[in-house]
Amino acid sequence: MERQAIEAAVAEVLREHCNVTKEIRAESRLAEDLGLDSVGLLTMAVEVENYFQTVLGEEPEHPPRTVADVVGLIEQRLAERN
Amino acid sequence: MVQTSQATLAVPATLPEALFQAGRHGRNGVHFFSRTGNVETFSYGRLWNDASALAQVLTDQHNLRPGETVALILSTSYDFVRALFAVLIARGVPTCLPTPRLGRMADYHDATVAMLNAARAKLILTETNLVKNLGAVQAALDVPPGLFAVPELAAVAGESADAAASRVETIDAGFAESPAGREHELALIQFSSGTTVAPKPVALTHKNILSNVHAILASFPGDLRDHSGCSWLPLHHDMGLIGGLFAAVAAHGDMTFLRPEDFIARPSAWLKALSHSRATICPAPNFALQICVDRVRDDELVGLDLSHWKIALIGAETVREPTLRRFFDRFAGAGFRYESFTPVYGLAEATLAVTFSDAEQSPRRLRIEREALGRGVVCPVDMHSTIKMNVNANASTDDAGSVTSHAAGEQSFAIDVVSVGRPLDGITVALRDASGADVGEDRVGRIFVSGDSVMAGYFERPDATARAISNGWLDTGDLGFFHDGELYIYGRERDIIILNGRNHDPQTIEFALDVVPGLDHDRAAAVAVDDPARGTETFAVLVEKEKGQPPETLEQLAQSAREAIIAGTGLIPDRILILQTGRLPRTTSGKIKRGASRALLLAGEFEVLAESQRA
Repeated sequence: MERQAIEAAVAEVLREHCNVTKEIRAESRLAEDLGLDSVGLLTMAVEVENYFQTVLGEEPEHPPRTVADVVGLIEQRLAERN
Repeated sequence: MVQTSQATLAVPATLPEALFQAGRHGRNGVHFFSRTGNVETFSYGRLWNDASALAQVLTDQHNLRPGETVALILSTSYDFVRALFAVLIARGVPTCLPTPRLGRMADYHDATVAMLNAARAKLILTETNLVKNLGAVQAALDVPPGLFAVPELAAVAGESADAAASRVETIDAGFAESPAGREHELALIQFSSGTTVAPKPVALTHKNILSNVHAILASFPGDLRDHSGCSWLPLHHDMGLIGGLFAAVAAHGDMTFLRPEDFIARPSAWLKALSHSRATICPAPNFALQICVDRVRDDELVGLDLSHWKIALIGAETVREPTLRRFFDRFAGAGFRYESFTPVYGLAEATLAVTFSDAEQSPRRLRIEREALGRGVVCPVDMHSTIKMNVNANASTDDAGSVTSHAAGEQSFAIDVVSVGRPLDGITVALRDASGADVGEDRVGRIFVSGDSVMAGYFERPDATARAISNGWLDTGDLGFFHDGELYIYGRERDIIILNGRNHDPQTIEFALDVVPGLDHDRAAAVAVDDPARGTETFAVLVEKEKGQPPETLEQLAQSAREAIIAGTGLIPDRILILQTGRLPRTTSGKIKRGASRALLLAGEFEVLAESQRA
């Protein structure tokens, strides 16, 4: 799956399920810019995992802070699966 | 003021015995409702057999001995439930911890390591896809425990029903003898908050749990056989595990579970599970009600039937009447009744439940004078009085434990509080003043609890246990008053912040400031404030500026503090307030008094030099 398509899917999850109304850019920070609290982050993770049928998981040293980080994590998981 | 209820019921001695009885009793069991509406069902008989087979594996192959701790790190699933009972049947002590969540792995790692060390876990049982994730946690422990995925152990145990069935008789014989003293063995280590600084492992015996669960069941109206349950609450939370799973097993009743993450992502899935299962009893913390009001769409209401839901248990955080009203307005069309709201009060140190309100009545609400309450005196006023006066906008946030109907920027002279009912069977509640003397009805006091539900103590923490329990009385740290024999909660003296039903230690928030030059946790106080619109609590952080810090940098300092807290804890503060050096109240030893700081904030007494508000 292309990066653009992944980005679009993540943006859709943020708008549809996390009530994000602000502009969503790759560099948008999830908590600081988009206002995701723990409920918002969990919602995003569950919806993204369900959409891509994968488990995001992350390295403790590199928590995803931005939309681009989440997209990168999904790319990594999809690559591992193939 | 002391309130005692009637004598306790006869109860099974241990949790495995309760499950065994449920398995023999009939066809009921646990059901798992997926977000797409699929239901998987397992009878208590099947659960008994599967858990017994797994217990054998734990004992024979992993050398689990009575009294040893086993950590369960799984989301809500049949694997969770069978592993939990396997540990109990093997006479191990389960401790149930949260699964990792996105974006917070570093905190998760530290908090989980602290809790596993505190509970001295010998084994960690988890999900297949979490084994890799938990490897670092396992390696960081003082004594690294074994780490296994439940499906692997189950495969070893073999799924043959015949083989498992033959074991039932063996263990049954054990129950027939009812080994003396078994009810006083530890049955669970429960963590009341996921704090990194000083986790407090609440150690509960079988007797603690079963007496509390049976007291809860005794409070339900009518025949227990006519009731069934439904819950999305995490099974690592006392209300989900004890109030949901253990209560259902003890009642031999049907119980439908939804994964908490599925509720958070799709709130309507919870209401569908309720509608589909026709469950009569289901917990509903205040924030969950608000989430449904905010996020369930009109098209998701179609076909929803909530008319069976007789008892909506509202606990884990402050009950707010406006939230109840909004939920009722939204879902009355689906058959939901206002009388179903049943506010309750409890805490992990008392196993779970302390008081329940009357399940068949609407919540009792009381309007009282704010000013008198500040002096610890309860003066009820007419429910229809609507006099308001304009006050400093800073004081518009309200006292925790209360509910108001005032608009932002004004403050009513009266506040509304909701009753959490009367003590359950076998539980005694006393309200005391600062000198330890009982206070009378309509006087605010500190809440103390005694009875069989009060924890054995904090696990291997005699110092902390001695601070919490004295002569059999548990100091809850909560404040409240009795009116017409019912308990009303009014604030608390322990310094915790409850966000979305989860307890947070203010220290963790204050420590997150230390990464910013010019900020220091020694000059900060994180305090709970009310957020009526969101139906939950939020928090403000009061920060004293460093001496000599130029005024023009203070706005930026507040913003940096906000970002440091979000980055360090994942929690979003409502307000950051920068104060003059030395303004926060302190003890004689120089420790900041958070409760007094909070009171000054609510009273609008601080001169705020700079502020950062939630976007």
